Amino acid sequence: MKVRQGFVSNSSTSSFCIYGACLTSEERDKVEDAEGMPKEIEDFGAPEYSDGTYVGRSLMTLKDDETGAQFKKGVEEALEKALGRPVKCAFHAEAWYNG
Amino acid sequence: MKVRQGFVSNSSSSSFCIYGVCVDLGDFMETETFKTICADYIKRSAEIYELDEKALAEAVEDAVGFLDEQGELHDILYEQVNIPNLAVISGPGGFEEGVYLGRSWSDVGDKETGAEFKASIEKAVREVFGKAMPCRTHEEAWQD
Repeated sequence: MKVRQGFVSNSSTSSFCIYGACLTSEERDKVEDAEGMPKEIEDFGAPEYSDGTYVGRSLMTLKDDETGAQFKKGVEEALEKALGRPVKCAFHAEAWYNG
Repeated sequence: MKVRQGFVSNSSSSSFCIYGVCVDLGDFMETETFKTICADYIKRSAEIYELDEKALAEAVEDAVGFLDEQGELHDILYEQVNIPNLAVISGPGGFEEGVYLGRSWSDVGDKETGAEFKASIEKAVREVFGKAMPCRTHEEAWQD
């Protein structure tokens, strides 16, 4: 039985699947400058039509001994610590054509 | 601060991010799971096909072949396949290019660990194929 492997989308498309929030560039910079951020938190960018950028953690980095709740809480606490206020987070799945 | 939620990509792009397996369409159609789905569909639709008892038994015996002759396998794949704990997804070229079976990473439960998430999918996939299958994360994105 043949099992397919690898990323086979066309090369001109970008995508991500994260838990986090869409932030302004200014807020993104504050997150980037924050100390003690979990290394899994990163800027995933956004399509051209978006007026923000998606910052969070890829769902694929969920650890074997980490629950879904712990995963989400970690992202929420990291962003709150960086921005100084609670950040409403959600699952974001984006795909866009880079052309 | 505006917070976006949900799937907000432009309408011409599709994507998914699952943990599971991708197999050839032919291999998926060879599974008892798929054959049973087809057989059950034929039984429910016996009146539509106007099958007598003998013809119904023959059709159920070779359910995939019967539905292929009827030109309905495509509809079955896209509308009738429902497997507990597994999503069945087609890629950019449709099921002819591969059948993805798994769960989206965003479906992980709050009390479910990453290991439990993966184990539940591996178990469900094993039940479909009758043997352990190498599962991994599949991330696909394409322009429609």
